[in-house]
Amino acid sequence: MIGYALRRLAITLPVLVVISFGTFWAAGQISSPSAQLTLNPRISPEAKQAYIELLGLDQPLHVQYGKWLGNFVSGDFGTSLVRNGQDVWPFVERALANTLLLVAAAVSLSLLIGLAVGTVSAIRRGSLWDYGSVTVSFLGISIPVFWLGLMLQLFFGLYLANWLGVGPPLLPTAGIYSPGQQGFDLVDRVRHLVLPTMALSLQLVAVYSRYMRASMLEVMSADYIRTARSKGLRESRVVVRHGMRSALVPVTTQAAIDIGQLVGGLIVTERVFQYPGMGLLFLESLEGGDYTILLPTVMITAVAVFSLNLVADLLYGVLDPRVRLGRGRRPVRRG
Amino acid sequence: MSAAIGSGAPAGSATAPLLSVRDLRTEIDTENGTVTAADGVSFDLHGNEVLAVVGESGCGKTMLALSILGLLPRRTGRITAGQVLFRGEDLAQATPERLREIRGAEIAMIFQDALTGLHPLRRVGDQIVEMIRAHERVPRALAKRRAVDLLDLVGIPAPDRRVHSFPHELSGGMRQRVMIAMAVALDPQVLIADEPTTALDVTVQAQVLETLARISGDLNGSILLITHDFGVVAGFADRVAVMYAGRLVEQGPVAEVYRRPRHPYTAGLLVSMPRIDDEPGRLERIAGTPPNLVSPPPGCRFAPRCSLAGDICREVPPEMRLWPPDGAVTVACHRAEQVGEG
Repeated sequence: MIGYALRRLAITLPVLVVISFGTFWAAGQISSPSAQLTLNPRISPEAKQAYIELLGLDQPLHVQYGKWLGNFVSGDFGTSLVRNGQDVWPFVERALANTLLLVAAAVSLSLLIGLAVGTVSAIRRGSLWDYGSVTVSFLGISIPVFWLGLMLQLFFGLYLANWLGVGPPLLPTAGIYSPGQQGFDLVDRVRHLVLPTMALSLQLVAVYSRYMRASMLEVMSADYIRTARSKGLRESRVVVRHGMRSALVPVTTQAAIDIGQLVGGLIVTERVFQYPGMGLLFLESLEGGDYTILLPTVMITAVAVFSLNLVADLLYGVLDPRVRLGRGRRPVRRG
Repeated sequence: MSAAIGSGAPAGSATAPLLSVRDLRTEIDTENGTVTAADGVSFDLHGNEVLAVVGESGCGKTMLALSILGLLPRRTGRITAGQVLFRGEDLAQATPERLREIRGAEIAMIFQDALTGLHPLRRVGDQIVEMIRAHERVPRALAKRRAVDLLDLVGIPAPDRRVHSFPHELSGGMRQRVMIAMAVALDPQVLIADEPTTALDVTVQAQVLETLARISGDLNGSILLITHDFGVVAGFADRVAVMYAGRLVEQGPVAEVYRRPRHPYTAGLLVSMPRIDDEPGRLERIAGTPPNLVSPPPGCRFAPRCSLAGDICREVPPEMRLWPPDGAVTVACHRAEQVGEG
C-alpha cells in the first residue's frame, strides 16, 4: 500500500507542476506588479527600473517561475505585494484554518444526514419518505449555492426575526465573529458557522443521500443479506452491520473524491457570507491583483484536493479487504 | 414440546413430524407476471431424517425453502396459502420476532454459493460469533472459542488462524464448510441446505457432503436438502420428494423411488442420470421444457412432456395418492400404474 501511495504521488507531482505553472502564468497576465509604478507620475523611471530588478520582473518567465517554485516548496511564501509587504503565510494560514473548519463541519454534517436519509430511502423504497427525499435531493442539487446563501441570509437574518417579533436576527449572516468581539468565543464562532455550513451542506446531503440510497439498494438484495437474516439477526443489525457496512465503501470513497468539487461551492459560499477562508482570500487577492497571495492559495488548495483523493483511494483498500492496491493500476474490485 | 404419539399422526409414522408443510402456496412477482413458485406443496420432515427435494432449476424448490423461514424476497415474494408447522407452530403466521428467534437457532440454512452468501467484508469468525450471540448471551471470547471449535468440526485446517480470514481468502470448499459451521453452531433441529454443493468442484462436493452427513449424524437434527442432483440424493437422503413446476409429484423412501419410480417425470430424471456402470453413449433426456409458471398448464403440469399423457392428464390436476395403495410412496399421476411398464 505504501508503494501504491508513492506511485500515486509520482503521478500527482507533474500535475501539480502544470497547475502551478498555469496559475503563475495566468496571474502574471491579469495583474502586473509594476502597473502601479507605471501609473504613478511621481516615480522616476530609474526608481521604477530598480524596483523591477529588485522583484526580478526583468527575468524571463521560466526563471521567475523557478525561483517562486523553489521558495514555495521550501515554505518561503514571501511578502505580500499589496498588503504593505506583510508576510503572506499568516494570511493563508488563517484562511486555511477557517476553511478547513467550514469544510469539516459541512462534510461531517452532510455525511451524517445524507447516509441516514439514503439508508431509510433504500429500506423504504417507494414510500412517501423515499419520494420526498428524492424530490428534496433534486432541489438540493439544482439550487445554486449563491442563491441558497442569499435566501438563508434573508430568512434567518431578517424575515424569521420579524415574523417572530424578536429584535435582533436569529443568526449572524456574515463574518466569523460579531463586531467588537475580542478573542475566542465558542458560541459566537459556532453561530457564525451555521449558515455557511447549511449553504454548503444542502448539495452535499442531496448527493450523499443519492449515493447511499443506490448503494444500499444494491447491497440489500445481496445473498449475504439473506444469510444474515437466516441467522436470526435483528433487522437493525442486518441493515447496519451487514448492509451499511458494505454500502459505505463506495459512498465514502466517492465522497472523498468529490471533495475537489467542493472548492467551487466554497468560493461562492465564503463570498456570500464574507467568511474569511481560502475562497474569499482567493477572490480578494484576484481582484486586488495580489498574486503573491493568489499563488499559494491556489496551490495549497490543489495540494489539499489531491491529498484527499489519495486518502480516498487508500481508504478503499482499508474499507474493503478484497481490494489490492498496487501494480500501478487503479483499485480493482475482486470477487 | 408434547409428542403427539398415535393421536392423528399419519399411518406409518409413530411421532408427529418436526416440520410439516401443508398445502403451501408461494407467489413471486416477476417482470413477466406473478409466478406460483410453490403450489399446494405438502410434506413432512421427521426427526433424524434427511428429506431431499429434487427438481430442475426454476421448479420453485429454493423459494419453497425460503418460504419455510419467511426469507422470501421482501418486495416480491409472499406465502398466499397453507401452513408451515414447526413442532405444531405455524411459521407462516408467526410474528417477525418469533421467526427471528427460530432462524438460526432452531432452523438453520445453508445457501448455495458461499462466496456471495458470506459477508465479503467481515471475518468468517466474526460471522459465526455473531450467529451465536444473536441467540445466546455469551461473552465474545467464549463465542470466538466456539467458532474455532466449529471450524475444526467441519474440517478446516488451522481453525485458530482461519477464524481471522476473510471469505475471499478461502477456497470454495472451505467457504462452504464455514457456512456449514455457522449453520450448525446452535445445534438446530432442522438444517435446510439449498444446493450446498452445486457451486463446488466435483471432488470438493463429495468432501462437503461427507462433512454434512457426518455432522448431521452427530447433531441428531433433520436435514431438508434442496438439490437438482439425484446422485447427491442417493447417497445422502432417507426420503425424497420430487418437485416439478411448483408441485410435488412423487414422495417416498429413496430406495423405493429409485427402484421403481411411479411418476413419469421421476422416471425421466432417473434415466437421464449418468451411471458409472452404464454403457458409454448418449444419455436419455426428457423431451420439451418445463412450463411457464406464470400460466401453467391446467391439468398435470408434466402432461405436455409426458409420453403417457391422455385427455384427463391435460384437464384434471392429479391428486397425491399412495401407489401402490399399501406402499410408502405417494405420487401425483393419473397414469402411475403404467409407469415403467412397457
